[in-house]
Amino acid sequence: MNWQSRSIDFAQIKLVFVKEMLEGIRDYRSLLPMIVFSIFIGPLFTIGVPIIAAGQVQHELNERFVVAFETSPGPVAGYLKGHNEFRLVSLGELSKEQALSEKKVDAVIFVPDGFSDLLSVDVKKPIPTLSIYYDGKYARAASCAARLRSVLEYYKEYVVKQRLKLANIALSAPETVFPFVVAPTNKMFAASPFVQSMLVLILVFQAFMGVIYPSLDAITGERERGTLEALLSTPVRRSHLFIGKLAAITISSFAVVLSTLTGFYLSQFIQIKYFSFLPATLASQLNSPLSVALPLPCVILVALMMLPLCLSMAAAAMALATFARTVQQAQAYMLPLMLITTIPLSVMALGEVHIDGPCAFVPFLNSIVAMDDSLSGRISPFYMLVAAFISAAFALTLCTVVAPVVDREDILFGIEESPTRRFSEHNFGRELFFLSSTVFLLMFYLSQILVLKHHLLGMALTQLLVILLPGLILALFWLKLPTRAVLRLYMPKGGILTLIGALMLAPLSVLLAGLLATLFTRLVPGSAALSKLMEEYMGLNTQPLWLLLLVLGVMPAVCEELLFRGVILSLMPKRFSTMRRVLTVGGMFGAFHMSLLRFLPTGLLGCVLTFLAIRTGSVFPCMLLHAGHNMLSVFIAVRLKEKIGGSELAIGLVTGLVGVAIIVFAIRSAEKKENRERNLKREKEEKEAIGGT
Amino acid sequence: MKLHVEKLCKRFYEPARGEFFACDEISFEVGQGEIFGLLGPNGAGKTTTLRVISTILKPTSGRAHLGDIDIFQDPDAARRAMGFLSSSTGLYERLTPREILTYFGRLSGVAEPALKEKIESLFLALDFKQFADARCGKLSQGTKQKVSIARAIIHDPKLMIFDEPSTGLDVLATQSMHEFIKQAKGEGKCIVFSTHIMSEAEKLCDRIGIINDGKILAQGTLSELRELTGETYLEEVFMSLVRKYELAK
Repeated sequence: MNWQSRSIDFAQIKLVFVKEMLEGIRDYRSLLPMIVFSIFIGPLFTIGVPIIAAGQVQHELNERFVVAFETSPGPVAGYLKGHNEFRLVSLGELSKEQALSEKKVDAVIFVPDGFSDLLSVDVKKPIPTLSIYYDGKYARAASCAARLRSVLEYYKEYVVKQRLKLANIALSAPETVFPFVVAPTNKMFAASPFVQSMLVLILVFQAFMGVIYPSLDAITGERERGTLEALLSTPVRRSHLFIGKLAAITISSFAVVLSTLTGFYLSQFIQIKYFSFLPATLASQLNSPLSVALPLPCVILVALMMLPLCLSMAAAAMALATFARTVQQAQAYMLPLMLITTIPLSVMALGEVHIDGPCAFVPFLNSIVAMDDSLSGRISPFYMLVAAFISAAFALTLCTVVAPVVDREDILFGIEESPTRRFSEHNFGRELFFLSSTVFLLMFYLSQILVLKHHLLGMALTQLLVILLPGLILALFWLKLPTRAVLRLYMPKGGILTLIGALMLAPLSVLLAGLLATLFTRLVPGSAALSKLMEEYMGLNTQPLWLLLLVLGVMPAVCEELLFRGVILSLMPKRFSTMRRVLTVGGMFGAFHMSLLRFLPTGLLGCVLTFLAIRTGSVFPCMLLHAGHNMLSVFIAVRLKEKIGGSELAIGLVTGLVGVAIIVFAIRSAEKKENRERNLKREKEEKEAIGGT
Repeated sequence: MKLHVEKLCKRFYEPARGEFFACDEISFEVGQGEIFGLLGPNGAGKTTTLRVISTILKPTSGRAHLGDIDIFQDPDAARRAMGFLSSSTGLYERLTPREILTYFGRLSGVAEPALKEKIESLFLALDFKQFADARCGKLSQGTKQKVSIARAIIHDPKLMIFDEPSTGLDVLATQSMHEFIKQAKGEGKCIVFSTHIMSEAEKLCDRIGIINDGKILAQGTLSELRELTGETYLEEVFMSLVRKYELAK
């Protein structure tokens, strides 16, 4: 199919889009209720929560705790009478134990002798202890005791003050504390804390809910209803089919988001009405923590930021659903997608992550953080624009990547090619996607936990379990591909010389990586602190050097090279040019290190290593360069403490250039030799052929 | 317009079976106003062959022409000139027949005023005007089948491809489907039609291709096939060809 070669026929896209929307809107059981009912989520939260809170307060007022005194209460009783939550009764004939176990009272207070004279006697005399008795079996009794204790604490303060007064000690204490709000200054873009705390979470969740039904219906639904064949036999271009359906899924999701936002926006007016019905004291008690304020500009800004998110989710959901054979299967596929969506939400929930930092460059996360920031009135127009641009670019890239699913016979009709044939044609897009996502997800979850918990051992385990194992399982055990060919376990073109040259490149690559990292540290504030933290976790200053060199130098060189320059590069589509393969594998290698600071240097190193693997046909030069690079970096960090002088720079530069020269020379000579041999062989064959005739 | 299929191959792979050809060098021709039947058991390769010709699947190798159109080189033009219908073809249950016909008509590039007329004439010809604006989910099986037929011919295709069109239909519906196919033949369309029912092939087809294991074992008119095998009934003709093929294998 020609995806790029022909112009876009908007009429076709519109046709598909309108039909999908029409079908979606008529889906009275799933999509339509989703859109319509979303409007009630705002009021449900913003009115529902205050209603529950008001009920709770009212309940506390009505359900008073029953308290009795074992001895003469004196002024304590008078003090407690001022507190509505307690009802004072007499024990009568009952002992305190009886009264408590029969639940006649919730607590009994024992006022010791002389406690009542507190206010009139010598101020230096120690205060006797007041005791509260309650039955620990009953939760109500326990909370009564807790309340009594806190109320009597205030009584203690009151007594202290009275006694100070008696002793003629003048003491001025702060009577009132009043909060003044200084930020956010721009109220037009700030929502109240109650809204801030939940709106982003609800919107992302709603956007996801909005993509589920239409994405299940898009391709898998057509296949299940038997309409896919009819559709594919019409002249509509498959790219247009994809775009039309994707647009419908995105708009459905966005409609759910808008409906939810509208509900929240309107609920602030409804809430004011609700509060006006409450007694003034109750309303003021609830108003401060639970009030809803959501200015219109804030709503518009949040809606705009949700749009690229909806598009990304729609593309991901549609691609994922298309892999499923049935709609039911596709529903199950949505769960992992939802889990992935929660990752940026949990990062946001950590707090202290703001848009004016590295996260502006991380797609998906940046939109979420930007929304969170804008709801709390932290508006940074430049970074928000960056975030919007990156999010949109990410969404469009994702669409381009997943678009060909509607043209894949293996996905649409389950028509497979044999693994051997696919290996010879390098046609393993699906498996590659699966492997990369598995490794990335494992890196995100398992590896972070391993490294945080076991530090250097965690790094070693990451190399073996996260990096080496999935690739080997996929290539050798699942697809049963030839081991040597997939992992490129061959002597490189140019032999030993190439290997030596590759090793000599290491100092130069370390220098370049250092330079790029320094540049990036200046560009993005905060990244230096992050790398410092990483160093501590790696135990650079505590572990023996040989162990560091082994775990941070040799192991990554072997495991990462076998994965990236072995399995991943071997599974890359054959139709990719060398340049495209170098950039893709290099980019993946950079992204896989999960550090914005290190993306550029590692990405660049990844490109060099990939090029080396393609050009030499072997993984070994890459392992040597990678090991050299990592070991030198560790050595510099530990022994030289990052202090590199001019002489080291010069040495690095010269060895690097010599290394390049050696590799070029070795490969050229090897190729010349190959050509000569081929020519000789051809001549020999021709001679034999002539002799034969 | 004539359909010309030449050495069509489609390779499949199944882990248990390894690589195999679901259609293996399939060649045949269908002239204007002619019904060509692909007759074979389940799994013989009929559906795959028809799916490849209708450009739903890509061929592994081989060529197919519809008149001057190279079907695999210019699939858009080919799709405009062909209609595809199979027994498993479904409908959008939440749309009405009118909406479905409009959708497929527009997708096939039928211009607007002509499309409306065409839809109205199909309502009358297939006799389901009273259900034109009802949701397809609520229609009876017979009416659904009529809508499916109308959907396949809304753009007045020159080539009609029917993949086991009567499977699962009752006697009446099968009868009306047969009448429809005969009518299309009368209108001068090329018709390719697959079935595993011998009597259906015998009744409808001008020429029959016996297909088994992805290969066309023999093709010709019924009398040519009888002559070739020396058998009288189509079932016997079929069995004789399959036995011969199995022996040769």
